[in-house]
Amino acid sequence: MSEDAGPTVSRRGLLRGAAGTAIAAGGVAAVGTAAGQSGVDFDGWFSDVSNFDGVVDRRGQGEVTVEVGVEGNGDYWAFGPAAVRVDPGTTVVFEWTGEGSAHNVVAENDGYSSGDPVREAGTTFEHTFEETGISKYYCDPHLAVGMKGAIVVGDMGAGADAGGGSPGGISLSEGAWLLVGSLGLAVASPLLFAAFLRYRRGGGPSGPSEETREQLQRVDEVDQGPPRAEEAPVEKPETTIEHDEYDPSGTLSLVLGYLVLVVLLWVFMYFVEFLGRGPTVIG
Amino acid sequence: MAYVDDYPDAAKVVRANFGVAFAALSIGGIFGLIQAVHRTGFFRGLINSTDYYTVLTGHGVLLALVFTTFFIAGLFTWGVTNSLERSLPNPRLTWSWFLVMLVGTILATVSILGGFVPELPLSADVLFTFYPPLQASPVFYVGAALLIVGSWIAGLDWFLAYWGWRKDNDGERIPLQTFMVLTTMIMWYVSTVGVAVEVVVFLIPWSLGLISEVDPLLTRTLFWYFGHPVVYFWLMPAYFVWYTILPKLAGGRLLSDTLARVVFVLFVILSTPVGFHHQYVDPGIPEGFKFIAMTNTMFLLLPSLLTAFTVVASMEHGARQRGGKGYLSWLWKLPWDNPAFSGCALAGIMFAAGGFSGMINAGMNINYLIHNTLWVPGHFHLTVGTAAALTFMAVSYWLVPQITGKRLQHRTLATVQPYVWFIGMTLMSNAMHRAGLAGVPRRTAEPEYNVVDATFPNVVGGMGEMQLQIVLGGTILFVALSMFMTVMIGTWLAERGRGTLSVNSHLPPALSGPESSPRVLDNLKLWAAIAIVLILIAYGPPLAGMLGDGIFAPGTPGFPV
Amino acid sequence: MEIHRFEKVWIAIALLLIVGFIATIAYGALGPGVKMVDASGGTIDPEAVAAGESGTAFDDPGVRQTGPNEYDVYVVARQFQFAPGTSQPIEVPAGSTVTFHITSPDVTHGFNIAGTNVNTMVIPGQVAELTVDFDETASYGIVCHEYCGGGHHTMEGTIEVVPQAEYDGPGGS
Repeated sequence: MSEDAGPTVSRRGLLRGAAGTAIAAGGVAAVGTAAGQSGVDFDGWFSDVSNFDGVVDRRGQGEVTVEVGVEGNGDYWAFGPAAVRVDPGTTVVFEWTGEGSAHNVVAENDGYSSGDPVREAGTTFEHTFEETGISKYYCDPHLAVGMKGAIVVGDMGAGADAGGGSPGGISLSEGAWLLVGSLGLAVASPLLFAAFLRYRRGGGPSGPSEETREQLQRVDEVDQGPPRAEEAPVEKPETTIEHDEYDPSGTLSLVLGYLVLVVLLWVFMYFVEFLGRGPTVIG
Repeated sequence: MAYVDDYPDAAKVVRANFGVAFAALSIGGIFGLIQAVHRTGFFRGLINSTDYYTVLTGHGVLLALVFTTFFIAGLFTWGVTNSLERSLPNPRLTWSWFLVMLVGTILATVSILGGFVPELPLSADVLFTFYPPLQASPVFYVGAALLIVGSWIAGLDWFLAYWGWRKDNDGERIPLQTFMVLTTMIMWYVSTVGVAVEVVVFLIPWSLGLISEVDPLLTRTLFWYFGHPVVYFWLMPAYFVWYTILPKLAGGRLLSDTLARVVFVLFVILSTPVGFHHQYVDPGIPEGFKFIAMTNTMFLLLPSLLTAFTVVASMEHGARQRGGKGYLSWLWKLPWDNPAFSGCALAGIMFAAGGFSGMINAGMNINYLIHNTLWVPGHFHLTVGTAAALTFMAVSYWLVPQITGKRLQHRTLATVQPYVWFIGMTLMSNAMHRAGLAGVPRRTAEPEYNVVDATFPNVVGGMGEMQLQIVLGGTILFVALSMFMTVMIGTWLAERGRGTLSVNSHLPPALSGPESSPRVLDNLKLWAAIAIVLILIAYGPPLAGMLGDGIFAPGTPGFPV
Repeated sequence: MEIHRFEKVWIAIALLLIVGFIATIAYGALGPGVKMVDASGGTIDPEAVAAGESGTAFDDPGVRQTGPNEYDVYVVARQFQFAPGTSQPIEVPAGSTVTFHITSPDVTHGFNIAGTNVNTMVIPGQVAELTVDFDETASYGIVCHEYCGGGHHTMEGTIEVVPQAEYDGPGGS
């Protein structure tokens, strides 16, 4: 398990980096203050976790429960609560809700893991947190969608508000939403403007310019309603060729050339690319 | 006298449809650009990778369903009124189908965009294929259903116009353009039954909680019953343009009215009983049914190969009438500076390439090589994304002046635009095909995998080059799209009646006209009946097998996304 | 009916091309023996698979030996993991014939052994059954190629085809 987790996480790291860029574009202030004031610096861990709503204080309890599979991140792909503050020596019981497919609990750095993902409601996994600090964990199948949590052990940074700014996931998607929306509006705006102009033109007395009107009167006696459009003259062919005197020899050579190309490519694709590479399904 | 003066009411309908189509095209195009930069890893700051699928859904639905359906509705309204030389019978009916389609579009679009705002209860990150048990909000399904129902009423409107014409013209051959519209709509009626049953009987009640489970295999089979014919619903209007307008633009005449009708009849008969070729690697479907679908699919190549000959021969006729000589040097005599012509011709060239990758897709066991890889979007960006879309843009350069009564603006931009699109699509689809051959999957926000040596080592030229070509091609396509929109908006805003139009509506008759083609071709009831029989053969036994264990079983609850 | 003689030639050639394509496919099925995924895997209740109570080998997915050099591999593909495959690689010996049985307890997934022709859909309620010969030692990646939710792009796994001598049986990994 750990062999695979390593590279997987590092790729997610890249992903987080990209997400971080987006937040920088969307709401620099919010994220910047999050680390400064709350005193708990999750280092972007919760930037894509939709149900993160600050650190929930559960100090003074010997046993604390975190639900696995609460609503969040687009489905039941979240820990509830996402971040909890406990006293050192507290046992945290992770309890499966049975929602949102199979989950597990895997520590980012601290070595504990509930093993393979399971879905059964009522499944539990316990871990006792002795050391002061932040212990981050995630659900392996749903890491990419933001199913992450953290246990804050001890009083570090507890004096300030636990909030930590707006949750990153939302600010990010709002930013993207705004960007996409404004781009869409930008493209649609000339259309809207055109519609507006047409509407106004239809309502008001303004029509074609005097010049056009005169020109049209010369062309056409009618000056009622909108001006008539005049089509371009019909093209006259240089020579007229009728059905019986026309042999599409160029066409025949073109389509035969295409045929040869298609047959060669087909043979290459079927016998070299397809049958030449294995393994293949044989039963 | 242009179309707008002859049929002012119908012209208004065409304009409204084109307006919605172009708006959808713009938004869908922006989504496409976002995908190109995100998936290739050039810039992932705009959206996160989960929202990529929201963008992808928007791109697919807005372009493949909304843009095409509205544009086709406008084009066919023009085609029917123009070729029958009469207005649509009932303006109230006409505006009602437009409104039904518009409301459907708005509902579907809003529910997709809702995916960007987690606070809203709306979302539909289900992609264009909306395979259950991925579950969208009911609003999305209702919107999609309304769009289709609206298109049905539109078809009825065109049939009513035809029946009215028939009363006054007993014994005459159906004008070619109307014939093409009616056959396309028969194909559409027959094939949309699948998706209508899927959405109305299963997905809407299921998303509302009225039924708890649906059978994923059955619902995706119903989707693909519709999902392949829909590509002919995009393609047949492009053929409509290539057969009836392109020869004129080339300076010639259609070679054969007979073969044009034969081609459309073949599409009516063969378009639907082929859907299983999208399910070649689905479990739960016996191999024999897949083989039958494959045979039908291969014979569906025939109308397209016939089209290649007839359309190229009609262009050659134009070039020779313009003084072209020699085996191939007549090609230079074609009006390559007329964007309406060059757009259609370039679309045709790309379709020849897309046709080849389609032959690979159609080959049953070779499907293992490319199923669900990037090859597939590479293919359909050549077909619907160019053969249909570029043809629609090209014909707009010819048609929009006629339906607005305004001169085409920004001629230079328009002249260059089809070539820009062609270059962008060449880069992008070439890279998609090659990456797909190496196994790079489609529909993924981040095609970098730890397990595959971080790249796909078999890509000729390497992953980096593929990504570069895709992002470059996508950007160039977006530039081409912006050029098109500038021309259209400029023309729309121009003053009506100033000077003569840049185009005329004269469509010369075919070299070999309807008088020499068999009358049985116009027997629409016969072709519809044969189509239904073939569908019963291809779909009856497998559907019976899937329904054998109950309509909702093996069932699964929804997974909202 | 006026049809140009060139066009008649072209129709004949086109029909020949179509028949040629169909013949190629038939050859692939009969000669090299490429077989399509079909209904042989049967159906299964996805919710039972999810709960681990299907009464089948999917309740404890993994590799099983069924004969000399013959193995069954049961894989559950779920959001966003292959079990086995993701957390621990699927391990089979070189020179073996392996039958994969794959199903999904949640949404539709894909199963593609990257760079090979082993490629199937994984549909809830259906069991995809495919037999493959692994002749040579190799390490393959498995990619989910059908969109299955927000974390789809992270769904991947590994198959290790190890030399016969180093293979210490199913579950030995």
